[in-house]
Amino acid sequence: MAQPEVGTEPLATDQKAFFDALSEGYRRALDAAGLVERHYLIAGFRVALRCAGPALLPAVTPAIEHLRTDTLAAPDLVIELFDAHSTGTPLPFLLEFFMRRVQAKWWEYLGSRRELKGLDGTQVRCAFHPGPDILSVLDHASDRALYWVQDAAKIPYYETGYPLTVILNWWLAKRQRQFVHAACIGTATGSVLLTGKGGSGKSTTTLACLNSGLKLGGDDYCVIDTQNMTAHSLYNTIKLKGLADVERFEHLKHCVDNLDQVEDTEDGERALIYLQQHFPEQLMSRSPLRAILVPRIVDRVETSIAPTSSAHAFKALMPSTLFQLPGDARDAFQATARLTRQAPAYEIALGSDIDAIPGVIAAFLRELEEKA
Amino acid sequence: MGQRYRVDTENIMHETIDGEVVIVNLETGTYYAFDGAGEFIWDRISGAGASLEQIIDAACAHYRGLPQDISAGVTRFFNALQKEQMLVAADDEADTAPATESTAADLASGAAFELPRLNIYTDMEALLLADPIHEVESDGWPNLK
Repeated sequence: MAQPEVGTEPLATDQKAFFDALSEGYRRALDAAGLVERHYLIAGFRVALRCAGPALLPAVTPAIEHLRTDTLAAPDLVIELFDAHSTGTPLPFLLEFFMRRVQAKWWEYLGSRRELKGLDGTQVRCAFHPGPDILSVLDHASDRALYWVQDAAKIPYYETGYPLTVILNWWLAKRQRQFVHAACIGTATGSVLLTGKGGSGKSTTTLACLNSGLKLGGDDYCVIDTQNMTAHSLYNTIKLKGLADVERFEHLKHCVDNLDQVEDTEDGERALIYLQQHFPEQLMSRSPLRAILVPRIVDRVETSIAPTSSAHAFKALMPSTLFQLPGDARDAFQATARLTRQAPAYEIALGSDIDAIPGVIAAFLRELEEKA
Repeated sequence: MGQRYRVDTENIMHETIDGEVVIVNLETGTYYAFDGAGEFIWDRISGAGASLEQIIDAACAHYRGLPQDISAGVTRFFNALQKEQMLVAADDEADTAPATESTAADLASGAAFELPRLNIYTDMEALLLADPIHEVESDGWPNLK
C-alpha cells in the first residue's frame, strides 16, 4: 500500500480513531499499574504528567525536577505516559498490529522529522522514534498528549537527559514559546543565549560558569518566550562528551549519573549531570533575555565580547534548532529569525583562561542591564 | 524572453537579516548564504520570479563592470541555484506577466560587480538523510554510526 505523502492533511476521523485507540491503551495500562502523577511549571504553563505506574518516572523526570510544583490547579497541558513492558499491557490489538508494522519498516511510515505519515497533521501531531520505540501524540484541541514506549527500561540516555522534547516543542510553539538549541547563562535579572556548533566552546563555557556566581537556565536547550523575550529553563541536564571530558572536568565526575555507560567515541553515550541533584542553587527558571552570544575559540589568553551581525547569530542558532529538534521547521525558522532580530548579537572570543570567562560574561551582562 | 524561475517555496525558506540572506532547504537540511552580488540576484528571483536574461540585464544596469563578466558571473550563480534545487519554473500565468518592474536596486548604483558566490552548509544533512538500515545504530535515529 502506498504511504501518504508528508504534508498531506490527514482525515480528522483517522486521527481521532488513532488517538482514541492509544487512549484506550493508556486506560488499560492505568488499570494494571495505577496512576502516578507529577506537576511541573514549564515556560509559565502548568503541565501534568500522568504515568501508568512508576516505571517511567526515572526516565523522564530527573531532567525537569527543578520545575516541579505541588500546585493542584487545573493543568494547561496533560501528558499521559505509559509503557507496554512494565505494565504488562500491550496496545489494543489493531494499534499493536499497526505499531509493529511501523517498528519493522519505519522508513516507509515516517517523514524526515519522524512524523507518522497519514496521521500527523495540524491539530493532531504524531511522531515515532524508532529504536527506543517512543510514540508521541498531541491533540491541540484538548491540550492532551500521549507518550508511549515499548519498554521504559530501554529509554536511551538522550531521551532521559532531554525528555518529552517532541510533545513540549509542538505544544509550546503554539504559545509563542520557541525551543532553541542553546545554553542559557546569567542571573534572574538578565541572561544570554550561547549558541554554536560542536567544538565552538559552548559546553566549556557553560561548565566554567558553574560555581561562578552566574546561573544556568540550560546547557543544550531552553525555551524563549518570543513575546516578552524571556528565557525559560527546561532541562537541568548538563552533558559531557565522553570519558575524556569527564576527566577534564574531574571535579564533576562524582556527579555523573550514568558513568558506567559513558563511552569515549564520537557517537557514544554522553555523561549526564543533573544540576538539580548537585547544584540546585545554580539553576534559574527564567530570566530576561539580553543578548545572543556566538562563541569562537581564539589563540590568546583573554576572553572578549564584541558586537556581531544578527545574521551571524541566526546562522549559529537556526540550523541545529531546526534540525535537532522535532516540530514544524517552517515555524521554527521564522521564530528563530524573529528572535535573532530582537536580541542583540555578539561574538564571544574565548581565550585560554577558562576560569576568567564567567567574569567577562557577568561584566557584559551588567553593562547591558545598565543600558536597558 | 526566456523561462522565468521563482523560489521553490515547497522546500526552501529564506530570511533577510541585517541585509544578509539566509536560506534553508527544509527537506535536506542544507542551508545557504551569499557573497558578492548573490543577494541582488536572489532579490530578483524571490519576488515574482525572473528569467536569467532579465537578471543579467538588471545586473548590467546596476553594477559597474564588463557586461560579459557580469553575464558569466550571474549565469554561473543562477546555475548553482538550480543545481541546489532552489528554483522552479514559474507557471504560465507568471510567465506571461509583465517583467518585474524596475526598482531602485535595478538602477545604476555605481558599485563594482563582485562575483556572486553561493556558500553551502551541509552539517545538518546527516541528521535528516540517515539511511535507517545502514547508517543508524540499534538505538535509532538520530544516532548515527
